[in-house]
This record gives sequence, C-alpha cells and structure tokens, in this order.
Amino acid sequence: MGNLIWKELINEWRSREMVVSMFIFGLAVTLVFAFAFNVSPVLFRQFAPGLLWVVILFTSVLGLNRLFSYEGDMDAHWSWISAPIDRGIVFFSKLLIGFIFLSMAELLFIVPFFLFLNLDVSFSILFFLGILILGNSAIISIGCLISGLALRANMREVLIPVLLFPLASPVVIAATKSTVFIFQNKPFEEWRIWILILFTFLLTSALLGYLLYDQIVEE
Amino acid sequence: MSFLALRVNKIHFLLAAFLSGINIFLILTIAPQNQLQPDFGNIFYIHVPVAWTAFIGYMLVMIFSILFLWKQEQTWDHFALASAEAGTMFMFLVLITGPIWAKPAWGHFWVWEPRLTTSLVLFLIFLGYFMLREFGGNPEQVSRYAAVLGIIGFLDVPLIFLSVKLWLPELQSHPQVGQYFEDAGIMPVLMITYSLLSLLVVISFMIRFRVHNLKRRETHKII
Amino acid sequence: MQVEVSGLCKSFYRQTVLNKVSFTVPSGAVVCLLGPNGSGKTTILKILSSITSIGSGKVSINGKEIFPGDPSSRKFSLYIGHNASLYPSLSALENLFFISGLYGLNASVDKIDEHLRFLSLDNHRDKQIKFYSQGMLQRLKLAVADLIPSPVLYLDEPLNALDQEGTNLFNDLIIKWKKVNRTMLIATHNIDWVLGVADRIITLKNGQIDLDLDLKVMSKEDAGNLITGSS
Repeated sequence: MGNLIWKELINEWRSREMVVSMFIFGLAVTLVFAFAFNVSPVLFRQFAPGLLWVVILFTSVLGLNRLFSYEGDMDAHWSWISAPIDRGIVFFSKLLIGFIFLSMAELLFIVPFFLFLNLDVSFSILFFLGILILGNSAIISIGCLISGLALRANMREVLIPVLLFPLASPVVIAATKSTVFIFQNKPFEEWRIWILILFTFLLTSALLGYLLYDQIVEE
Repeated sequence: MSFLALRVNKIHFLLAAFLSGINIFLILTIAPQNQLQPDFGNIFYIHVPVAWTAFIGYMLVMIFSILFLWKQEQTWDHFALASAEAGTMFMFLVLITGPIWAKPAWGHFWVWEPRLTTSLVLFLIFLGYFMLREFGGNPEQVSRYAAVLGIIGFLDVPLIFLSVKLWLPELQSHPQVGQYFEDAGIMPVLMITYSLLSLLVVISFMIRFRVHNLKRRETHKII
Repeated sequence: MQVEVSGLCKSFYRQTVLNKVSFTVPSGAVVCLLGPNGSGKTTILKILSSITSIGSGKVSINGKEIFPGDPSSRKFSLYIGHNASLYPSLSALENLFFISGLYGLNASVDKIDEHLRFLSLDNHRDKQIKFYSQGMLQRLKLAVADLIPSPVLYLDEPLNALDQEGTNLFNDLIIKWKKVNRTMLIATHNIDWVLGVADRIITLKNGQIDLDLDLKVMSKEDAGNLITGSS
C-alpha cells in the first residue's frame, strides 16, 4: 500500500495538475458565487456553509476525474491490475490520495472564501477542521467508487457529476447542517446525528468500494 | 418466439389488464371521497401504491444486481435492467402524481417532504444509471458497472431519507391515510392494498416482457 | 509452470473475439501465438494476466484457476504488453521500483541498475519515460520482464520498434530465461523469428485456433509451409 501511495504522490508532484487546478477552480467558483449572490454580508453568513460545500463538491469532481484518468496514459494501470495485489487496496490508496489532494486545495481556497464573503471566524476551528475532514473523505469515498465505474465511459466528465451529486446528497445535507451548527457555536449534542450520518456514509461507501473494486477494474 | 405465445405470459397479461381495469374503475367510482379534496383526492389511491411499486422495483434492481455479480449470468443483468426501467417509469408517475396531490393538500406543487424528496433523488440516481448503461463503454463491462451502481444506489436510500427527514424538521411525512378518510373505515386501506397488488402484477409483467425482448435482441445480434 | 486454457470465449461490443479457445503451454516451453491483426492474440494474453475478464471458460496456472478476487492467482505471471504499462511522469528507475514492489520484490537500486545496464538504458535511468523513444520504451519493457522473475511470462509483440542490437539483446534474454525454465507465451506476427525460437506454435484465425504445431516432432520448414499456406 505504501508503494502505491508513493507512486501517486510522485506522479502528482511531477505534474502538479490536480492540486493546482482544484485550487484555482475553487477560487473561481467562489468568485462566481460572490457575484451571483449579490446580497448583504448578514445574508451571506447564512448561505456560507451551503456555498462552501457546493464549492467543495464541484472541486472534488475535477480532482476525481484527474485522479483516475492519468492511469490510462500508456495503459499504466495494467501494471497493478495484473499484479498479485489486492485491488481493494488500490481503491483505498486512491481514496487516501484523493482526500489529501482535495484537502490541500481546500485549505488554500478556504482563506479567500472567508475573505471574499466577509465571514467572521468566531467559531471553533477544531470542529470546523473536523467536519472538513469528515465531509471531504465521505465525498471522495463515494467519488472514487463512481469514478471507477465511469473510467471507460465515453462521457466520463459528465457522468461523474451526474452520478455523484444525487448519491452524495446525504453528505451535502449532513455536512452543511453540521457546518451551520459549528458556525453558530452550538453544543455538539445538537448536531451529533449529522456526524453519525457522515460516518455511516463514509464507512458504507469505503467498504463497498473495497469489496467491489475487483469487479470494476477488469476490462 | 413471441412473448404472448407462451400461455403463462398470456395469463399474466390478462391478469394485469383485468386487475388494473377494475382498479381504475373502483378508484373513480366506489372509493371513499376524500373529505378535504373531493376532486383530486383520489389521486392518493394511485400515488401511494405507485410509490411502493417503484420502490420495490428499485429494490429488485439491487437484488438482481447482486445476483448478477455473484453468478455472472447475463440473465440476471437483463432482470436488473428491466426492473430499473419499470421502477423508473413508476417513479416518474410518483413525481407527477405527487405534485398533483400536493397542490390541493399543501398549496404548493412541490414540497421538500422526505418521501417525495427521496423519490426525486432515487429518480436522478437511476437516470444516471441509464446514462451509464448507454455511454459506459463495452456492453459486457457495462453490465458489471451498472450492477455496482444498482447496489450503491439502493443502499444509499436509507441515508438519503434520514438526511432529508432531519434536514427540514418542520416538514413532516405525508399525513397518514386516516386523517383524510376518517369516516370511511377500512375501505381506504383496502383500496390502497388492492391497487398495490394490481400494480405489482403490472410491474412483474413489464419486467418479464422486457427481459424477453432483451434476450431476443441479444440472440439475434450474436447470430 | 504449466498454463492451461480451456473453452475460452470472449466478446466485446457483442462481437465474438474468442470462440472456445483451448490450448496448453507446457512448463518451461516457449509458445508463440501467431495470427493476423484482430485475431485475438492480445485478448488471450490480457485474459491470462487478469487485465481483461474471462467471458466464459477456464484458465489455470499449474492447476490453480485464475480468479479476479484472488491476488495469489496472479503471483506467477507477468504481462508485457503493446503499451508500456508504465507511468509516463516517472523515471525508469522509479517505474521499475514501483513494479518490483507490486510483486513483493522491493529491488534495490543496484539491482535495477544492473538490469537497465544490460539493455543499455542506464544512462537514461532518471529521465521521465515520457521522453523515451519507442525503441527505448521497448527495451525498458524487457528490463521489467528481466527484473521480475515470474515463472510465467506473457509477451505481446516484443520485437516492435527494436533495432538490431535490441533484437539481439532480446534473443539473449530468451536464452537466459529458457535456462531457468521460464514458461513463455509470446504473441507476434514475425514468422521467421518465431521459427527460430519457438518450441510450439499456435496460430489464430477469427478468434479460433487454426494450427497447433509442436516443433519437436515437426521440421521448421514443414511448420513454416503450413503456416504460410493457411494464412
């Protein structure tokens, strides 16, 4: 598994395509939202959690596409498909890498996000980071599963969001709700259920991905 | 060989047609009038059973998909696709009858009510399913992809429903049947059950018919 | 290690590509698959190395059936295909290191260097392989085949883009591998080269086996005539 992670990291380091493009895209979408929702700062504060997760969701689609498509260059993926490794491990490595890169890009565009939308930071940073971690991993988890399905499709760039958005709706709802509670500094007991939902989603999709990856990967 | 040439299929079709015909007749005439919505209320007798049938259709997709991945026989894939088509058609009816019923009941055509919203999300998931089937690539491979999607799609449903339910707590689920049909006794429940039964016969007929067509088309292509 | 294929069928886009293909590759033998483009040679090799799923039929190595969910069924074979199956943004050294890790080898830099040197690639060791020429890529693929000591080796068009020196190096490798009893299944369309190297020749036509010739009991001229006669 370490071997696979190392391979992914070097690939990204050489091209730097994923993190950079995700960051710039996130920034661009934030800008569009700032223009499109021309409202007072007070109202923006109410919208902000939802907007944030929309930006994250859209950005993840970009990353997911790239995460899987580069394996097709020179048919590189055949190297690990025909190797005596558990292909579920490859799924986990993609999940981990996707999560790392999404989080990196996110941490970069979150600062402008808060800046442009004039949001104050009067909430628990710890909880906020926690929900970001959980939400990101849930999105990437189901995203990796879907990208594996759409890998050889003719309209892959369209198919991934079309499949991802409905399937990830519990994540969007749960993450947004949790973020709202976090921004309002409400006690944990009130939004505990949403965390539970996110965890369940993450575990289920990760497990399904691990179990079903064998079936998906062969031609 | 023609589908209806087989006696069992002919009987199935006649049963479906007969039950549906009587069902519609009963709904239009004998079923107790809804107190609050005399004109549109009886759409309820269509909406609820159709929703159940669609749901069962999608559950069948998951079951057949699991069977396909396990046994690797093309027949199960045909069943899964046919169930998806039948289920989606019924789900489409749910999304049409829902607003028709919602307007007189709640004043708006669309409400983000948990069951209706979950239906919409499921519908979208399966639109994606058909896109995958169409554009996914090699048909032999696509069968496997679609099976996986069929499984994830349906397993996601409890989480979707729970999330939507907790999302807007002020909007509760559909009012129960009893609230609208207080004077009518057991008739409403009976009507709904009867409608459900007839629709189940219809959907199983649709699935069988479609599987037959798919098998026939495939044999012809190979020849 | 023996490779047995029985009743293998496969279709793509509803076109039958392989139709009940059955053959055996005896342990330590060099078996060559010949056939025109589209006859199914690459598909067979890809199915044997678990890159493509089996349509129907059975494939086993040393009696053990290949199964997607069972990684150990892939332990004994290595596939070197048409395309590099390597990462363009990684260097030769990094790619070989990655692959050796996949097979549980964790080869040291020196060992990898040694194999690269044999194929005259050590000067380009740290260059990203997207900058390699076709000939260099072909040699790199052979370096992979040399690095991973799998008992069974599947080669798809190994002579492509190789210059004379490359071909000589490849022939040396074949002799070296034969000495360690490596079972080889090679798909190619170069009949002359095949007649010089193979123990057994299988020709494919329209997804079915046309000829299965054992060169221990037949002279090369007869085999050559049969092959050119039927194509």
